[in-house]
Amino acid sequence: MIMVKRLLSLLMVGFALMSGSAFAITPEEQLSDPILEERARDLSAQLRCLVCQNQSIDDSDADLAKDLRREVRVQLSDGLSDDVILANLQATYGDYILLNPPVSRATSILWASPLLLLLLAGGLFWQFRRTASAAPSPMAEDDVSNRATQTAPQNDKAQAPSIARPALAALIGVIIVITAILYSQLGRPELAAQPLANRDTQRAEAAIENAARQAALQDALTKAQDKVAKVPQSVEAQLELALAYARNDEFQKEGEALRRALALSDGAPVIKAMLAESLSRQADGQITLPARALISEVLDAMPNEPRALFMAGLAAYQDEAYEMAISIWQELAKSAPQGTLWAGLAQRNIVTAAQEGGITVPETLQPAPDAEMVTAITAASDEDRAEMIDSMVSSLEARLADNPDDPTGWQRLVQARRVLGEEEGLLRALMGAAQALPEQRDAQLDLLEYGLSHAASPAWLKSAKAALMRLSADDEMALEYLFFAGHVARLSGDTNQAIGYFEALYQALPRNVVGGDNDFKAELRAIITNLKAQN
Amino acid sequence: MSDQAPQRPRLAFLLPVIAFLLLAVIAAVGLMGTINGTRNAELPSVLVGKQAPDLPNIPLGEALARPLSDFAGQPVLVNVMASWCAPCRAEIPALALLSKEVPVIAIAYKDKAEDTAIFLSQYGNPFEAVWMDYDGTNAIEWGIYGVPETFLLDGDGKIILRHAGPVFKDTITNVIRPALAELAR
Repeated sequence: MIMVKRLLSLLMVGFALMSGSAFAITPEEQLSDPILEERARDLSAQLRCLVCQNQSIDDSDADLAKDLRREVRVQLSDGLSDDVILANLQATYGDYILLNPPVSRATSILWASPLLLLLLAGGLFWQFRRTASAAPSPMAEDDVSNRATQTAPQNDKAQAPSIARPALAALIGVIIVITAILYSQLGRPELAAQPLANRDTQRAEAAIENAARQAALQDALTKAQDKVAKVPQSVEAQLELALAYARNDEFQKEGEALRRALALSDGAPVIKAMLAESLSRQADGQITLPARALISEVLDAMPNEPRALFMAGLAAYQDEAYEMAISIWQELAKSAPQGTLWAGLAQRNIVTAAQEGGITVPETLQPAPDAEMVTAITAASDEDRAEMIDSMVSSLEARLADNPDDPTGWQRLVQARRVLGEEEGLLRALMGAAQALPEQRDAQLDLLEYGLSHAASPAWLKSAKAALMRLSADDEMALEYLFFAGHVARLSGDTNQAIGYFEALYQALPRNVVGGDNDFKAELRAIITNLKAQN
Repeated sequence: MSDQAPQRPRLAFLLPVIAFLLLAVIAAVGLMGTINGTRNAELPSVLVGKQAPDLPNIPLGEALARPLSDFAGQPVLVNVMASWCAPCRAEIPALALLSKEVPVIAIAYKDKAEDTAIFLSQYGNPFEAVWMDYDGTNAIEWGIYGVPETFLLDGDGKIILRHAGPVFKDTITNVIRPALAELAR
């Protein structure tokens, strides 16, 4: 007997230890006075953890629950009664903190509902009893046994199930349908089919790739650090270091390097804008107040600094001032050179901001083609589609003829023609753009480039020469100018002049350029030799 | 008569099914509301209309040691925040906007002083005063159950409204500015 008792008590200790882990309360929280501690546990069990909401603070591991447990113990130690402590907490957190809701006008229905349900059930039961006794009793009994055993129903009793059964079936059907709808609306896990075995290899591959990338980044960082150590006064070295840090996600250090670069460069606005960007990166993309201060400094000094403009727009966007964000980005799209990163980013963000703010953007600045157009076009039949696109592009062309000072419009037209593969239209658009936008280098270069991949028509040659004239106003020694001037001369049959331009280009190229550019030099040499042979 | 008698119990059998369906519909509506955010999951504060509890008594530096009494006679915002709380970062620009209209005081909840200081230098400081609630004792007096929470106090130090969660621009236009306008009348 004693053995059994001992075993039992051992078991109980074991259970106590096991269940002990279920309690959230930690030893250091406990009060030394066991009576007070008992009261504290009792009170804690009555208080709701407001974070987990369906646990008492006695059970919960949440931080707030811990604080509340401590608060209860502090008040107990101060000698307050249980009721007062509960009332104090109720005064700051409301009835909701009590797991047992107090009876009040708002909770009266809650408290009364069990009683009401009981009354209802009793009433129904009484009703059934009355109708059952009113009917012949053998019938009722038969029915019960029939339901229980589902034996072959006799003819006269089969009538009743024949009505209830379809109704029941219909109900079950309705439930299934509702469940299916709910499931498809709420619960469907959208995971790509990925067999477990594949996932492991994928993970391993990704890990290797990642390690290689990390090593390369680290390597670049070490190099940049070496360079800074060698030439600490070089702004460029600091900027390179900042970039290396940024690529390694060390934004704090990126900021430090940029600050040094900023000091070395005497507060160059461009670097200041970079610093503002870095500060925002440190803040997970939020344009913080210090970043905003920097941005406005930059824009005061350089109103068109693209990075600062971009970030100013972003700041407005984050303030939900969408119209302001759009106007800033429009400014950026206008002032940033076409085809550069900033112009593209600005365009994309304008669309996002317009959607977010429910704003319609003026047509000239709308990027082409917008989503609605795309859906309309894809929905149409082939013939309709061709016609729609054609009319759209033609109307754009007509508009540009009336109002040629629209860089984005020209860009859209050129792009549309290029995508549609309309060579004639493309050339027309390129020539129009180059002529209408004499200040736009890219427009000239695009036109000149066309001649390299297409048969050079007299029309192209004529406008290409004009484009060269406009470019030469810029810088006669620019590499692009020499390159295209050489080709234009070659295509118009002026071999001597072409050789002259190409030789000049060859000389102007850096002696030992990296990678693919060496191939270019070799190619250029080959062209020159070829031309000389022709001569 | 022999046709009708067995039908009644069948109807009784259907009743729970109908009741269950009804319940399912109610639950689904509630669930949808929670998902769409139309159902308000915010717990109400019982402190609204009452005198505001005390601020903590440890300031973050001398410059930020202004007590509530400094702002007596004018409305003031009390923002319970922490450097470790992500939404608290997100609401700083909105608080900066607000700080032009009404002084904002911070209670740094369960935060280290150096972390709060770094946070403020990194994200900007819209606060007139910052008080440290190291262990969350004061927060319990304010009925806090998660940061950030923001309280609007009138000139007498009475709590006019509480906003749980970050303050964004629409919170300013829809909640705080109307309350300020009401106070100004």
